[in-house]
Amino acid sequence: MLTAQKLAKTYGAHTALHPLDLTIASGEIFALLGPNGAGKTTTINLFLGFVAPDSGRALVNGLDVATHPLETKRHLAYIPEQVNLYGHFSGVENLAYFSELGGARHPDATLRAFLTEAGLQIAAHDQRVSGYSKGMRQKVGIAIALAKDAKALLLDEPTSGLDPSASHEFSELLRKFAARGAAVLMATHDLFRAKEVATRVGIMRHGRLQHILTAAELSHTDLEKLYLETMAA
Amino acid sequence: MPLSSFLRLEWRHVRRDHAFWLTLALLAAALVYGLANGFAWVRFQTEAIARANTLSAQRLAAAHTDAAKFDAAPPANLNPNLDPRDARGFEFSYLRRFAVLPPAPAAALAVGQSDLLPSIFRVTYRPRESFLNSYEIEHPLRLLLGRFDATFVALYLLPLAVLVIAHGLLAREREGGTLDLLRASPLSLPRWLAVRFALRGGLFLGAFALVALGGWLAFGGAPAALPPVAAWLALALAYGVFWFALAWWLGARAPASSVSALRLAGAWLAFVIVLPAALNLTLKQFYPLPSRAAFQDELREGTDAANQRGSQLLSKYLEDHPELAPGPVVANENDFFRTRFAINAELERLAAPLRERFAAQLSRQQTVIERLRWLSPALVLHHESLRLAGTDRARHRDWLAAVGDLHMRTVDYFEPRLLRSAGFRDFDGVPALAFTEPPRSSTALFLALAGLLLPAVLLTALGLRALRASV
Repeated sequence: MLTAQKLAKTYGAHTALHPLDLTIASGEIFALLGPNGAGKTTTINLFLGFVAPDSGRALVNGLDVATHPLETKRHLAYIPEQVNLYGHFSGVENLAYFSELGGARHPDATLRAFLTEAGLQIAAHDQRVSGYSKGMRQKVGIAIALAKDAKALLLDEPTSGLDPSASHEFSELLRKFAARGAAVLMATHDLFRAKEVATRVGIMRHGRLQHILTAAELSHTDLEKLYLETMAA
Repeated sequence: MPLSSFLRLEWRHVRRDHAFWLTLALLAAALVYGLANGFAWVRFQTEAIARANTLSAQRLAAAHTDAAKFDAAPPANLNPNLDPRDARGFEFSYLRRFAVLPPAPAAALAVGQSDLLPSIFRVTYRPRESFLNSYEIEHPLRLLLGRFDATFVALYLLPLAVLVIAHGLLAREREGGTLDLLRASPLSLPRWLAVRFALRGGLFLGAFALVALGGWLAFGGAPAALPPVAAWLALALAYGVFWFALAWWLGARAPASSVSALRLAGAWLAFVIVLPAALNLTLKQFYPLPSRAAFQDELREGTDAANQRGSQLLSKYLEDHPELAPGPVVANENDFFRTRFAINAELERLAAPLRERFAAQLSRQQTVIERLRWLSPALVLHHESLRLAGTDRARHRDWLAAVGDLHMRTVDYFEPRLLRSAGFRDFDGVPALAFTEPPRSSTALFLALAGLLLPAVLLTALGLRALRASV
């Protein structure tokens, strides 16, 4: 699971994240909505240990990210907005490389199974990644998370630039992940996708988590209305 | 993650890195070419020395043969200048005594200025400047670039190759977009990057060493040369380590790979070209060599004056004794030789202080270079490579001193014999060169290695600190 305890971050005079208390349980998909500069990426980066908090703690599976930087990363996987892999490697080679860096070494057949499970067509497994589309690279990113058997998945704008069918396919993968017991935190602008896939939705503005709702509570229209009201306030 | 796993993962990258293999191949080709050039030059020198020695032996054998022949059947009206049994005839027609400086066992590694500084002199009793006339006495760094030999490749091309394969390794990950995935992995980025450098550096320098050693043996390098070759290799590898360490430090601090490359190129320019050139100019400014033209003019004036006095002496003598002119050759020629020796002594007296001034200034320049070479790793490598190859100025200077000594002994040997002239049989007694190779201490090598590796260690530590702060 992912836990933020009074987690805060300031850059000079600007408070990127006001003290945040949030827990994302295993099997849960939490969609963090908000405009640019709301603090979504800062929150993700704090869980990843890319930046150090000014106060509070970020916990991954009960371990403090600040004091256990390497241990916490064994439990989590990260899919950035642009999943950039090594273009001179094929899909399966990239998966082998990053999963082994993550501490998991699998035989070739298992790696290919992960790629297939992630939705990457078999014909693409041995192609150089330099020829992959964004969706294909994201699938390799998902496969890396599967290979690591990650307990937490952090995603930053994962559906940005994907066409509707790729976006839908991606949502299905997230549900699969959650069904395995992983905690998923997804930062996104995509209200529709957030409503479709998330268990809970949070709306962030100016570094504060303004609302937390269960996705089932609201319709798409209500969610959009609440979002716009929050932004206008 | 164990080190072996890191290395195995990085090997996957290196295997696919075309720039790495292409750069390595080009450097290897350059090294082989450099070695070929070095061996060709050594072969040229060795053949020239062999020809000189052969000529010397042949003429000596001819002296023995002709002396025996003329003893058995004295020819009528034999010109004394062609008679080996006459000291003057032997000296003029048969003696071809050469002082040679053979190439040291590892000379093929660094030609240095051995292509400018003569290694063969035909030493006679005549003034030294008559056979030392092709001596180039500019300061040691005049021709910094030198020949395309193995040391040239190490000095100039190895750092450029390091620039290509090692610049901005971290920045390239950032620019390629893979840095975030790496940072999200449970690995220490500084350690991961250190392994990348270590593997690339180890492969690259290891291949360089193999090609150098293999090339040396393939070109027929003498087994006796293996110790100095191994020492040179250690130096070249230490030099490579310095450049990898510099790339590490610059890469740890550079925001972009292009910035890292530019800074590394700037460092190459500074250490390999600008600093040595600046030292060159400093030497010219503060320790200028006396004008060679003035030296030649002074010598020529002295020669003319001495010759003039000699002619006056001989003219006076023949005026006073007309019955001796053209007269019997013996009396005239003894005066000629006596006058010749007097003129030669006068020329030696004139030339010696001029030579001393050059030598002293050259020595001061050399002292400055010895002290200031630590400013640049290129100067350290260059200086020590020449020393190991035996193509340094110090060895040539020692040999020239031995040639000077041979000249004086030759003058002392021939003066009484040329005046006595007839009844000469001491064909094998003519003085020979007594040159002992100066001992090579390993202290200089260890100092040079320290001069290269200590900065490398410092740069590595600084780079690690910068990396830890940035990631």
